[in-house]
Amino acid sequence: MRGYVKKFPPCRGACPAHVNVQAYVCLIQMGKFREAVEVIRRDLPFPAICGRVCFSPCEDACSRINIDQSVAIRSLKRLVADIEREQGRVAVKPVPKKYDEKVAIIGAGPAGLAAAYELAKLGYPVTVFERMPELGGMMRYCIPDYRLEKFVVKNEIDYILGLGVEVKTGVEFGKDITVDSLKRDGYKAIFIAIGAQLSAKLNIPGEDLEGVIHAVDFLRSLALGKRLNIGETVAVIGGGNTAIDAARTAKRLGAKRVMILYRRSREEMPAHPWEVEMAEKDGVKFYFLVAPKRIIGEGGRVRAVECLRMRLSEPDETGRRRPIPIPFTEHQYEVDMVIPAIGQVVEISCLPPEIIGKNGLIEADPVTLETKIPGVFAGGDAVTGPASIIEAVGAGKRAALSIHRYLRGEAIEEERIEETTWVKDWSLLEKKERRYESPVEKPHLSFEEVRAYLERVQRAARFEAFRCLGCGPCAECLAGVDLCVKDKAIVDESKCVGCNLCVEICPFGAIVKNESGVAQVNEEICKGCGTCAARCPKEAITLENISTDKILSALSNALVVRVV
Amino acid sequence: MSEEDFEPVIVGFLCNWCSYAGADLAGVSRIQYPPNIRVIRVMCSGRVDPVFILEAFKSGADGVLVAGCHLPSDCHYLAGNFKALRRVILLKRVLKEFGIEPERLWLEWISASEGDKFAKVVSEMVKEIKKLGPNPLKRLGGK
Repeated sequence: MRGYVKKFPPCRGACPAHVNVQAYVCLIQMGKFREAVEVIRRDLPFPAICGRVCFSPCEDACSRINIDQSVAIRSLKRLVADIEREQGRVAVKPVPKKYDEKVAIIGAGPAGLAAAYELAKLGYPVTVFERMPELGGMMRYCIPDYRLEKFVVKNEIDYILGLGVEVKTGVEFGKDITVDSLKRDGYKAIFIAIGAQLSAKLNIPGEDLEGVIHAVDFLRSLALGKRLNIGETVAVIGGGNTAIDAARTAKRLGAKRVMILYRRSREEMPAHPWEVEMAEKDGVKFYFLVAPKRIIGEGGRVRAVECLRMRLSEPDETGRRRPIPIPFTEHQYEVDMVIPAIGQVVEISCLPPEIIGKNGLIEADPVTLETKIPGVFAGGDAVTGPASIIEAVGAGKRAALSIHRYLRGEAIEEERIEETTWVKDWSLLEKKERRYESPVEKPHLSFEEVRAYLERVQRAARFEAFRCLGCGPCAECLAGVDLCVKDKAIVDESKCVGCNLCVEICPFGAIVKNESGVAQVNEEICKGCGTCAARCPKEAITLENISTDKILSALSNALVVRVV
Repeated sequence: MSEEDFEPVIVGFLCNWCSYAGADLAGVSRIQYPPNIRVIRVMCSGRVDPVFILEAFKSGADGVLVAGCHLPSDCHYLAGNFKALRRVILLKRVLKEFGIEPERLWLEWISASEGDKFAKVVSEMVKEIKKLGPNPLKRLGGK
């Protein structure tokens, strides 16, 4: 074998959970929507959730971006997941337990559930402990309904539970259970994925007034069904995605004026630009380069926020521009409610002290996710700080692999993955179809029309999927022989004269000559194109499925039905 | 047999990655094209041995279409389409020696998203071959 390294296409390489994007886009091209969902599920248990709220690093990495726009990968994923939900899923069967070692997972957020999913598939008895009454973590409690409906989250979690994952809700880590108590109960490995649940404090006077509620608490109490009196004017402090979510939710709850106060300018906002755009469409006002100095109350309730104007420093060594307050620029905004959204921190009080790092996060190996305590792994927001669902899923998968290797006594090291693209010359691909504009009409239609509409949407999806350049070679969707011809070259050694022509012509370098001078095909690399078969002067190379005989018989079959 | 009655039989060798998917897309999009083509899927246009094309003409095909991925860099096997191009150019010269009009052999590049192009190529080809008339080998009393 000469230097065969497994490489991922850019979309798959960019995804923290390494979802096989090329495979499911390829299946959508063929109209195999159900199979596409199955392929997504191999790497990611949340196709519908990620189809809605993922920040899609795959689309940023897409090679197609060099020609026109990236393939709408996230929308395709959402479509196939929704089609599956509408049509009804094939009932999930519990995976038989292959191993005895019990695994405890603390926190039923995306990281914990992804780890539970992977371990359950491997055949471990898994128990998930969760403090809140419902599973899903931030996905369930902190993403507002207009972005991610609760029934979607429930549907996806039901799939994981269907695999035979045990769940205990209302159990608090550090109080009801600890690392030691779990080990005493016979759990051989523990994965801590508690996330970053606490809001960071502003540390300014007036933060404890009535009407100041931190964004995560605000969203969580709404998800728990509490009614909040939000008043007419709401100020959200911060520039992240949580700030945007809080502002848009406040707007939907009936606030007349919602403003976002951010201490840097628009370019520095950590929120995704499309989120900012959507918030502006909702009528949220943005004030840049202002930072709150104090919150002014009246009778124990918020009346106004006093702010200072800021200016940006020159970029420092790290390239970041720090905000510097301009003195004597105090001004006030009259508000009924203040929602600080300046980040979340990990609740370290419940953790064993030896695994807490310097920066208030859990200290764990970035690749294997091991902590200092043997058998205890940690991942997700609790290790990286507030991040995204897909990164948490990636961490959960890595942890599951590490736990599996730890329990089997293997070396806990990761395979190396190289990112690459196979497309070399962009200018020549410009002729390919541009993005298909989705139909604008809304489905306020009769049944007959809805069916036609859905058919159109599905066709649009196939058009969109066809824009994929297929940067990798075979995407290994493993959909089966009936969908894809899996073929390989077979050398008849008695006929081969060792002329070397096939070795030279093979586009993949799959053929080498062995000691006796006979051509040998490396089955792993061979793609079954048959170029060597056509080249071979002695007809020593044949293919099983697309053999010369089969093509010739297909030829005569085609010509039997003569129209004379 | 008058020109109007003559329905040519065309054998199409379509590569699995681009042209076959393009033909599939033409079907999915319900684009109309003449039913004269008989499609044979091959993994790559580079897989099309000149023998296949000669065999098709020998068995009475009135036209042969070889379709692959666009030049130069769309080929799934990197250079299969160049090999097809090379072979078809050579074969056209050979066909003349056999008394078969080289215009009966077409080589087209059709990508997976070009369902409309596939339909256009087939209808054009049928039109052209109707003008040429039936395969001369058939007229000589061949198969």
